[in-house]
Amino acid sequence: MTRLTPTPSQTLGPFFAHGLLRPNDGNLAGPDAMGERIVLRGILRDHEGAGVRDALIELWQADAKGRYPGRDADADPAVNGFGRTMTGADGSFEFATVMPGAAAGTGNKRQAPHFLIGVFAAGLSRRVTTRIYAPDAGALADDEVFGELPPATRERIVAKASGAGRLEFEINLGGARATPAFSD
Amino acid sequence: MADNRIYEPFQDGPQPPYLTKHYGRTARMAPEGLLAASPRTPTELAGPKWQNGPDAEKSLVHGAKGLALGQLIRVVVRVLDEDARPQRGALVEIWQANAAGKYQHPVDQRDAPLDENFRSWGRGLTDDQGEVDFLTIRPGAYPVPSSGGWWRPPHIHISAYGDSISSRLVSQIYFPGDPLNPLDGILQSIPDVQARERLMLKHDPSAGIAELALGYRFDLVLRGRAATPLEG
Repeated sequence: MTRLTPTPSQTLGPFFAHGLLRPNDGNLAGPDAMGERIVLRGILRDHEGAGVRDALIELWQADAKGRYPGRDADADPAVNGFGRTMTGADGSFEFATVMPGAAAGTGNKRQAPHFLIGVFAAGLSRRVTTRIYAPDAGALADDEVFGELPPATRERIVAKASGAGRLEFEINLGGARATPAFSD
Repeated sequence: MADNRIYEPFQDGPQPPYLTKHYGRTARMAPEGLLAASPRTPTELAGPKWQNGPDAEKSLVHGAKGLALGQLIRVVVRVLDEDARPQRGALVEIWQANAAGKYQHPVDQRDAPLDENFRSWGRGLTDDQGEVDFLTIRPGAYPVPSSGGWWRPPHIHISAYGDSISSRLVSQIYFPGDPLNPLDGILQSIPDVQARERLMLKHDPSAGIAELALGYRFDLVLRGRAATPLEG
C-alpha cells in the first residue's frame, strides 16, 4: 500500500492577514448560541517576555454541552467551534464565544471544559498547540490530559476569571513561566 | 468523524525543527515548554467544516481594470492523506507577493510597486478528487529587511484544514530550480533534502491554460491515516 509522508511545515510569516482573516473570524457564537457568553483574552510572549505581534491564533472548542460541530450530530448549530484571529502590537488577542461544556474523552470519561489553541507566527517553524482550561478545580482533578501534565507547570494553562464573563490566559513561548505546549 | 484515525507527531528531519540556525528568528520563538506528543482525545480528532465560497476567490489575477502583471500560472493543488486518499472538502488558502515581490500589507514597507489588478490571496475547497485550482502569477523574490543580503525565493504561502484539527498545516511552496532556493534559510531549515523537494511545484503543461497560463501541480499531504491499513 502507498504510504505518503506529510508535507513539511513552513513558518506563517508576517504577511498572512489579507489571506486568512475575515472581520468576524474571532466570534464563534451566533446570536442564538446556547450557554454562557464569554470573552476569552490572551497574550502571546516570546522568550524575552515581549509581546509577539502579527501571530495567528486559532481556537477550537466544544459547544455549551460539550459537543463538537462536525463530530456530534446534535451540536449547537449556532456555535462554530472554530475561530481565528491575530495578535495586536502588544501580543494580545481575544475571542467572543460561549463557555464550552464537558466534552467526551477517551472511553467513557468526560473532559474538563477546555479550549484547544493553535499558534502560528514568523519565527515558528511549526504550529504550537496548547490547551487552556476553564478554572473549574473539580473537573480538572478528573481530566485525563491535565492529570498527565507536570504538576509544577500545569496551572499555567488554567485561565483566570477577570470579571463577569471574561477569562484571561498567557502563552509564554519561553522564560521562567514557559507555557506547557504540545509539539505538532 | 475521525476517531479511528492516527496522527503521529511530526519529526525533526522531514519537518523543520522549532529551533534552527538557518532561521535566526526561531531563537526567541521556539517553545521551551514543549511536552511530549499532543493527546488525541475527541477534541483533537474533530475539526472545523467549511462552506464553498464563490469561484472568483480562486483567481488572484482578475482585477477591476484587467489582468494582473507577471507570469500567469495555474496551480492545481491536490490534498491527500498519508494513505494517498484524496481529501474532499478541505479548505485551502494561499497568499503571496505580487510579480515585483511586494506584499499588499502595511508591514511591507519596501519601495516596490503594488499592482491594483492583483489580489494577494485566494481560497477554495477541494473537490471529489481532492483538487482545488488557483489562477495566479509567479511571485517575485524580495529582500528580507536587515538580514545581511537574504532574499526570499519566489514562494506561495499555503494553509490547509483536513479531516481534523490534528491535520492542520501551514507551509510555503517553491519553484523548482530557482537559484535562491538553496540559499533560503526558511526552506533550508528542513533538514531532509527529500522533504525540501516535496515543497517544489511540478510543472505540468496539462494543468495550464492555452496561451494564458503556465501549469503547475502540487500534492499537499496532510497528516492522518487509517488505524487499520487499507487493502492494496
